[in-house]
Amino acid sequence: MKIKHIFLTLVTLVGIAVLSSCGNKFIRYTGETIDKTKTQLYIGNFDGGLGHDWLETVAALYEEKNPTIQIIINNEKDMYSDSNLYINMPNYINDIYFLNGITYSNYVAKGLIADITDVVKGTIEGENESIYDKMNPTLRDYYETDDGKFYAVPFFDSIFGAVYDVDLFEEEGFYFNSDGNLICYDPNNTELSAGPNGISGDYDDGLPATFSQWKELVDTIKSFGYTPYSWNGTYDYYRLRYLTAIWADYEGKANFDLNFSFNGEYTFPSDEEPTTINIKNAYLLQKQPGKKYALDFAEYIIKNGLYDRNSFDTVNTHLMAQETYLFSAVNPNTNRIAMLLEGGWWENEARSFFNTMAKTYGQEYGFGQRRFGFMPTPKADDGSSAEGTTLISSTGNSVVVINAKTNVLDIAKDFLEFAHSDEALRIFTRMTGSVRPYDYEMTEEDFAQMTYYAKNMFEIYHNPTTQISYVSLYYHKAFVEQASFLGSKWWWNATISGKSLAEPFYEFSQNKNLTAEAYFQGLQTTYSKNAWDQKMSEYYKEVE
Amino acid sequence: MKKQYIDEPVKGIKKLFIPLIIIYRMFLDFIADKLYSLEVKIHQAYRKRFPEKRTLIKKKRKKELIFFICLVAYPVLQFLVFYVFVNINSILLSFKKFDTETATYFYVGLENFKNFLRDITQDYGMITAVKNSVKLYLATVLIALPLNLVFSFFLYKKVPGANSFRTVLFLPQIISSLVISLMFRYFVENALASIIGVNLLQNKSSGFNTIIFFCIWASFGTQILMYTNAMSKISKELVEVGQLEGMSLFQEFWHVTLPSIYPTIVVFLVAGVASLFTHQAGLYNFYGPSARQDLQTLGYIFFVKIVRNNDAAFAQYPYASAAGLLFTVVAATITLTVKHLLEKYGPRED
Repeated sequence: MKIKHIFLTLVTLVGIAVLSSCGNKFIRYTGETIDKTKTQLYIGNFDGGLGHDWLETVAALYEEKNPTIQIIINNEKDMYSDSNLYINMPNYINDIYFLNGITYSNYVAKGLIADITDVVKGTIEGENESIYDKMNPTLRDYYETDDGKFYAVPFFDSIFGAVYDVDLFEEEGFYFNSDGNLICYDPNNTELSAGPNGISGDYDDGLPATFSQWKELVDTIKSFGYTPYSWNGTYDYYRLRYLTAIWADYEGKANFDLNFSFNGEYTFPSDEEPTTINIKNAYLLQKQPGKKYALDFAEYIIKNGLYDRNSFDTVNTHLMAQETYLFSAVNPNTNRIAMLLEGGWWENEARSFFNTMAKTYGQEYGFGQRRFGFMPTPKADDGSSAEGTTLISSTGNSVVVINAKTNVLDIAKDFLEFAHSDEALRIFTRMTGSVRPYDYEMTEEDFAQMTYYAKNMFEIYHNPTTQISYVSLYYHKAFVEQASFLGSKWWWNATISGKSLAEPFYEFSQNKNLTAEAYFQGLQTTYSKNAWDQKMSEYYKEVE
Repeated sequence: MKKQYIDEPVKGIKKLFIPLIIIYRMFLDFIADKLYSLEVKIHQAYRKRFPEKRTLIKKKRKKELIFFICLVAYPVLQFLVFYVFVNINSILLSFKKFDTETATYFYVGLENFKNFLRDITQDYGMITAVKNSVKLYLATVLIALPLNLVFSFFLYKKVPGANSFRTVLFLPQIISSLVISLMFRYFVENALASIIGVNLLQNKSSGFNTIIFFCIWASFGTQILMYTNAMSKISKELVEVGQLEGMSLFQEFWHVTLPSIYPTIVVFLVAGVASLFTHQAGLYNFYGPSARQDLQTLGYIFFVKIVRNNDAAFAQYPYASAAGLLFTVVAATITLTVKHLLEKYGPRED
């Protein structure tokens, strides 16, 4: 009898569970009570380095202005990855998403995301511009479909490169003065040089303007008993992106962008006339001298031991590298580290380490108390680098989208519009230290609440000489279809003596005889005409 | 007769729940009644459709048949769903291509097969993976197998501390493989590196050998368990006769133990052939989708191709399916050949 009861109970419970799950969408418990007097708007937020505090603040403001709406934010990471969301979006309850990166065309083709053209092109309430007007032109062109529609708008921008410890640089005089000398060696002249962009009075003053100055700087840092560079060993793309940033700055946005548009003209150093680049001959881009220039940096850093000893340990994650970098200022067992290879979001991501340091070593080590800055790429000594500053952003495919299956489309669109108002954009930058690819101004009050690093990032991004190249946007479908040939390999994969080399920093550390020149030639071996024809010939009809 | 829903005295605070208990038990009875009526109705309908006939199968045989069907139904269903249906999809995919503009698959004939054959012969990354896979397989056959057999033999012979030794060896099997990988990685990259001054995983010349060591170490326990289990079934009388005739420990191993457990060894060797194409050597646990190229195996390359959380994953399914099909053909051929050779030329118990 007892067994029969247990069996019946189980059958009943399973039945109830099955019946109750039918028709309901997946929702994870957020801790919020559903207010039945209000309409709920569910937001899926990719909870990465930017966190969710800024979104909660924007949501609270929206709720204040719209008392009949309750916003519930679901913060997740892996659940909102591209391929997971592509399959499961119809099963999730969220009406609107703030995502790290998606394959836009796939989502549009599958009808997963709603047409938001009206809200993108309509004037934002209380402002004179539309989201379309404010949007970064490169991204605007990318997200606008051939028939003039929008299904997504870009979320955030994050440049990538070397972060330097401003306090250390000031303390030790690691800036160049107007005579071109390091202040630590020539302390009588403390007037800072104009920096790589050649404009005095902006963010890069005193930083190395040329490759020679950069070498002098890093050698000096080492000779003073500091470690010039650190990076994480878990994700090699951090190192690759640093090299890509150097390459992009050398070439300039127009020439660098050829590497994913496969459409334009390029003049190689040995030529007098420009070569028309298209899908048939894009392999020639491996000869861009910017690549060799970037490899020179990698070779110099490795062969002169200018990096932290844990930098190649695969257990050394990006968070551990951030922690080591910050704690190196107080750790008596390690050298203080001058620079960290990171993305623009790192300071916000490392917030907990700042808090820990503040508790242990005093408030002067807390979040926002220490000063960090972004070091732009020094120009080539022979003046062959492009003018201005070209930065790379790896988050061009980060987007805000509305679920096509939402039951509250109008509210979702209204919130999307609000999230792109100047007020909301400022909140984002103020709280995360990152920028959104829209045209907006920060107030003095905003700046007062931002960290030194966040202000530095905003200044760089909005400097008239700055241009952004989006390395995660694929204009050509071959990048997706031939991912094993054109994916991550396309940037830095070399073939030397029948061996495939994927990451220059690591390869230089393993083979003392390997040179930047040999690696550069190896890139051209991987992408020889023969190899290119084999893989890409199916696309040639586009230009024939 | 009216049914009593509370058949024992209820005291204290439990009294508060009496109505709930009654409702719950009434609900259970209701469900039970409904299920019983349903059962009766099904039975009646069945009998109406198929009137009872006299049959030659005795009642007991009939019950056995039902039991047998129940027993077989689950694996058969599992085979149909998770092998036949899944692989049909995979086979169809291998002749298709992903169109990124419409997010759909379309037929392209044998293109994926051609591309794969070209890559495996010309692409340096793929060639490295083939070499690594073969190296890993040979290491399991030439290094792991003899070690497993020797250790199993000593455990079987109950050397002092055999039980604790067995526990220690089996420990990696009962801990999550992810945890084991992490432990190993931290040990090699932090502890060991600070002792010997070299990071064996990071170093290009020792990286894959360290991975091989990990694979052998991590699977040691299971194999030892299987071999000792097989050895324990060897006839004690046979061993005693040998010992009376002055058989040494080595002779016992070579002439009695090895031939007796040979079928088990064959199973491991034959099953291991497939691992040539599927073994990812714990690399995903170690490095996620970004393992160094010099460490990659075929199993890892194809796993990462489809598991990667990026736009390329869907476009890679057809290529991976085509490769999978070709691997199956090659693996099946090698497996059958190996099995045939091992059975023909291996030692016999008689």
